[in-house]
Amino acid sequence: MPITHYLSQPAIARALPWPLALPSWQRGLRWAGLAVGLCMMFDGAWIQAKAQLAQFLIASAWASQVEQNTQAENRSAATALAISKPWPWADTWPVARLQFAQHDIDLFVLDGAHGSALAFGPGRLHGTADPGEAGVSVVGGHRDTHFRFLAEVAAGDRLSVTNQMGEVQEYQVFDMAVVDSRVTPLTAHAQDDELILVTCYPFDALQAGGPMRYVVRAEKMEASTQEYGS
Amino acid sequence: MSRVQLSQVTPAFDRTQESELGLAAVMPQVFSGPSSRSGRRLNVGEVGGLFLHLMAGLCLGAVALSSPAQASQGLAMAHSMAAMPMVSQAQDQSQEHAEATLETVSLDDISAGQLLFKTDTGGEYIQSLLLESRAHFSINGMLARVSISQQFENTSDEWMEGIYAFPLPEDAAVDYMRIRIGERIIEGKIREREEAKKIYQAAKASGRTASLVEQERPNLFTNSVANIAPGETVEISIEYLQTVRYDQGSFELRMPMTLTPRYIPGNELAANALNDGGVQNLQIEQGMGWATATDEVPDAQRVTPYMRPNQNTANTTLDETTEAELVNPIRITGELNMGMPLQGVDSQYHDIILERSDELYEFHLLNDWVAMDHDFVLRWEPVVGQEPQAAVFSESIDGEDYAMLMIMPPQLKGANGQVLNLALPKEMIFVVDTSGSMSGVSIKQAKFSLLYALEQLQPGDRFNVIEFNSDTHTLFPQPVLADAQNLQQAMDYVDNLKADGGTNMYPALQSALWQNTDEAYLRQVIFITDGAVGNEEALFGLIHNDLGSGRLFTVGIGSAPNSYFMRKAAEFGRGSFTYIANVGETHVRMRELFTKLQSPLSSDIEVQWPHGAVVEAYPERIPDLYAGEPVLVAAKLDVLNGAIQVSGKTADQTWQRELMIQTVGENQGVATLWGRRKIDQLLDAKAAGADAEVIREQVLDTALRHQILSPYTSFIAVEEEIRRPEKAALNEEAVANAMPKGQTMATPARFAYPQTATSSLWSLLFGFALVALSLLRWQRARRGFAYVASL
Repeated sequence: MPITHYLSQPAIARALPWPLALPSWQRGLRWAGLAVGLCMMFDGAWIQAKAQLAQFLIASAWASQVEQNTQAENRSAATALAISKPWPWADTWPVARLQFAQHDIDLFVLDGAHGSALAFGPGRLHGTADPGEAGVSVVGGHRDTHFRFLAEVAAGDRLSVTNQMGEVQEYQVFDMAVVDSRVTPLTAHAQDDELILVTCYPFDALQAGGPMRYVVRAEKMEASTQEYGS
Repeated sequence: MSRVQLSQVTPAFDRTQESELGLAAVMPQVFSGPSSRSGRRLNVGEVGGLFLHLMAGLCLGAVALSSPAQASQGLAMAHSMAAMPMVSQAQDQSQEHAEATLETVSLDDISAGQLLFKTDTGGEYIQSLLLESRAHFSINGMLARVSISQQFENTSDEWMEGIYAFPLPEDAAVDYMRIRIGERIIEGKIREREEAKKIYQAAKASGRTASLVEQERPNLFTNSVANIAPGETVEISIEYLQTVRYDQGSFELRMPMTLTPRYIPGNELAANALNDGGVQNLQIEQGMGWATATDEVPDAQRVTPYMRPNQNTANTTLDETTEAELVNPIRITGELNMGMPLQGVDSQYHDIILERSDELYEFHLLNDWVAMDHDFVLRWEPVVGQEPQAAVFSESIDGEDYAMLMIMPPQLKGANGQVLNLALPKEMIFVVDTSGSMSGVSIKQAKFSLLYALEQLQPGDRFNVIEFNSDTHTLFPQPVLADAQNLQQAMDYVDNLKADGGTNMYPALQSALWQNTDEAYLRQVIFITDGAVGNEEALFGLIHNDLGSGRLFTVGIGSAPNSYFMRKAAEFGRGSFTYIANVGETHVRMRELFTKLQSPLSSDIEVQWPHGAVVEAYPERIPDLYAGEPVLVAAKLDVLNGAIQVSGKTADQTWQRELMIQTVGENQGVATLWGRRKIDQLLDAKAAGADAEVIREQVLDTALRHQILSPYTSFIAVEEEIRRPEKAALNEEAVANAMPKGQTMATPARFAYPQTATSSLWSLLFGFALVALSLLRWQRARRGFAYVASL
């Protein structure tokens, strides 16, 4: 076997050092494979890094936003809440802060559950209430970044939600479910104060765009509004 | 030498096997989800998409440093392109796809409150199918033919299936349906329901445009349209016949335009209950509604369409809203030919413009378009003194004669010319619905009606008030005398009623019917509700079995009451039904009701057909009539010639009327209406306990002969041509109904699922696998070289 193997190499290849010993098309393929592989790894890592880094920028935007709102507390209720964008060209801004103390999670919810917001943080679905406010609020987050921890969340878990006025509301998780978005519609009674966290399922699926969703529902607990200490 | 060549090929072979193995080793862990979609193998299209994604990512990598926001948008774009199912033989199409995707509505473009429906692919959101409707009435005497056209416009770039639930009058005989796609018109055919469904499913699967109209309840229908091409408009027209209602000297025609969400009582049926063997033999009907099937209402999904909130209509006047802003806009036109001078033609809740030429009236809406959030009611009155006393309409079809007969019983007048009053002491049980669906204006109307009714009670009458939502609450344990103190207590009680909770009607009705009764009193149950229930049949059964000698009257409240329930409950209860659709007319309608309650009944009504004629007439037994109500009979007979005698008894006096008929004009639709009434009668017999299978056979036979919709027949229209390409996916979409005017949103709101995954894991793993693989190869090649060198 070694002999045949030896004999199988063309004479010229034997004389040349590696990697030039290989036929050129094979070399090309390998270089391409290496390049593409690295690019993909960079792409994947970039998504992860962006998700983490953006939250730092958002945190400072949030702080200034809450400060403006609390200072302007004496203004009439009709005045719009202050908006401060985490970076000048951002098309979204923080609308609430979610904290799961027992999971060591501190997240800022962005406005809009579209791709360009979800890349930087969980997003509130348009047409639903802001988290912490009265009514139903739907927040979506990527299962492989911000909402990865939802896999560990259990019924009875507490979370605190800070609204844009800096007021803190306590919520309690009462339901988790895996649903097929093609079959089960996402519904809620508009009069309930509910926070619905949605992420994709299964958590470790490779491809994006699957129909399954993981839906965590939390309800507002008895009014325990307290001032947010800056 | 051949051996040598083989060995040279072998490594390449190994490589491909290995690369597959390498992937396969990763796949079981990550493709472990229950989703069938992520479980399938990669195909060429996906790998292509992956490369596209990658290239886009690369190009944008540089941009990312200067503007992360743009980059993220770009990435999102690349994602959606990668997620798109790519068909290798339609590459130019995929290009179109990608462009169109960018045009679809993002959540940001939609103002709050609008409901969106999610498509199946790639997490795009599209606006729901736009819907525009037109209704045209042609009223000739007591017969009305109404045609309704609905346009479904597919604003998306994908093939769509739309499902829309819509109401029609409960006595409508739907006898025509057609679809129009561009210039092509396909007429629908009546088929046995299951057969029609199969034809529809087959057409849907094969890519033909098809429409299926099914009857879910006598007043609730669903229309499914499959394979609407991207950007295409499909128009579906249906026509129905209806008898005009004549009561208290005025004619009325009502077209329901939306639905009050039905309350679905009972225990949820789990989808697997069917497999439990024998315990449940109910079928769970697949639909697109919000409710889950229960043991009492197995077809809940099909009778609970999603509602769209009313936008702005509450605060803006009609002039300010344009068609585009309306929820489900409709245009209404019509002509009215009664063959007699009319005193007034009025639409109760919509402003209309009336044009008259002789005895023909034409009408259309003042505002061309209105939202379909409120029943359309047209009411007209003959000139005083010219009220019709009798009328006959007839039609001959296939050698058979059909006739519809209307006769007014004589009004008994007292000595002073007043309508005679009943002196019998009454026992009135008021049952008022305070469920969530009554919230808003409805509960106010209910309270007004109830307070008015309490004021009408005479000393010596007895009464009780029962309130129900999820629970039933009775004001007095027993009916009490209508003295000042009891009345005051009742009025206070009524004042404090609030609307909240479910519509658990059965126990309330039961407690009203089971109240202890005194033989000396005439028991009258006044039922004030919007009838938003899904278990109508169970309630009819209860009324039929437990009413005894009493009578049940229904008062329909709200802008879209379930008139099928109102009418049938009153029919089973030998009472009458009254609609009150706005607070302003509460007094007028309640006064009419009380006049009825207090005037003597016409009973023992019999119709003597011409001597020797073979007749099949419906209703078989003519119900007792209240003052102002006409006798209305539809008949099939062999000879349409001779004298018809109608006799009856009013307050112990007998009366008789005679009517000569001969074959006169052809009134189209009489035969169809006769068929519809026969079906009605058969279904009533079923509710009263007749054998369901026998009834089904008879209904099916009648419906097929007269070509009308029924619970067992559906309209189906299928286009011959196959239009949807085999590879294009078909998306389902429910069209939401407008919320009845004045009602607050009590049904669940429906939200779109956000797209909540990135391909970061995929990129990382696949990238890693690629890098590892190419390095591995090199490693091995290097080893091979080292070996060679060592030689």
